[in-house]
Amino acid sequence: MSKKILIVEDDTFIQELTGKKLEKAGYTVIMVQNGQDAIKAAEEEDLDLVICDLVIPHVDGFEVITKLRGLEKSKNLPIVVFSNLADGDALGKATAAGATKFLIKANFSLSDVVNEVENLIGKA
Amino acid sequence: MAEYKTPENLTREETLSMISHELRTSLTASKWMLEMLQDGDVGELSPTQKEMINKLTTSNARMMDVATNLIMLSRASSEESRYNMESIDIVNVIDSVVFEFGSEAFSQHIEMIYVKPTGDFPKVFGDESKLRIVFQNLIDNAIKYSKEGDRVVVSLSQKEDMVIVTVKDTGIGIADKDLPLVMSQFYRAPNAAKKAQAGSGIGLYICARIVEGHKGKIDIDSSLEHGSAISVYLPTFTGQSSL
Repeated sequence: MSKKILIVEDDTFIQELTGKKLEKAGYTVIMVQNGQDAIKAAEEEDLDLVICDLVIPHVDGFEVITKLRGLEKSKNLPIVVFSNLADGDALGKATAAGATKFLIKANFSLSDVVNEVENLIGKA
Repeated sequence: MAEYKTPENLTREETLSMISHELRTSLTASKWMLEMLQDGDVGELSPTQKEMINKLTTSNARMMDVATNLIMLSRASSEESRYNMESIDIVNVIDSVVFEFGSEAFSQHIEMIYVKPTGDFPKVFGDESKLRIVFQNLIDNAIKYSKEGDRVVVSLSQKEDMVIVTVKDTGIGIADKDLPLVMSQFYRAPNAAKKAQAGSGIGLYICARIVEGHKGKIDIDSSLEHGSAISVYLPTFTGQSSL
């Protein structure tokens, strides 16, 4: 069974492209578009990694990370922040909330994202 | 729960930040689709198609750079943009910026070394968010204008009442004739334009404006094809600093 990744991203275009690339690398991908669904998915699924945007509806990315760190199932899960919110405040807040890694979308290619995922949880 | 503001309640800086974020997100999606085309993920391309995709990729990267730098330029030059001066732990600031760019350097096979000072280090009197822009720009440039196997070294030191942050690289360097011009708005040295076509020539200008606003200075020591060392001098916090 391949490793399972949750993508939390409200831009459907970005979500689709990231999901396709990770699926092509062999991972199982679950996609949600808002923070509430992300927390629900983390409670219900056995995840290996979460990729989370910060600017998402209902519950923002910072709060999603904080909530996931409070859940038994996801307290030690690698959480990669993937955002174009590139200021220092965002980095500091995400790190304080418990993010494992902070990647700025515009600075990375999709192949880089797959490499980062492989570095954190190994190949699919 | 996130706090959402209505458009009429946004400051000019917040509005520009939002526009910049949306532009960068759209351009990121375009960049990734171009990358998938280049990688042959959706079928093989003819040589002419590959050439056109390469040109589109360069154009996309240039737009991305402009979208990123325009918001910085606006922040740095806006008359409304006041400096929020306070005592700053500069070691922590550099820590987080180095961390931010670590993955990018790694993915480009460039060695990033951070010479972190040990023991007590003086605080700086400055605006943290603006100084962060300076160091993001300098480290981004050092990576952008280096090649595989090159090295970027970030270090901190102190001289009298100034803290010095130095970003040194073994990249393409700057020719003597270009040195006086590199901090001018929109100027790009010919070798820089050749190495990274996506640059806009705004970055160092913004850095210079921000550092001037802190009563600091920037020194550039560079040798063509051997690399550059850019040092930012900032006043230490004495407890009674003022601008």
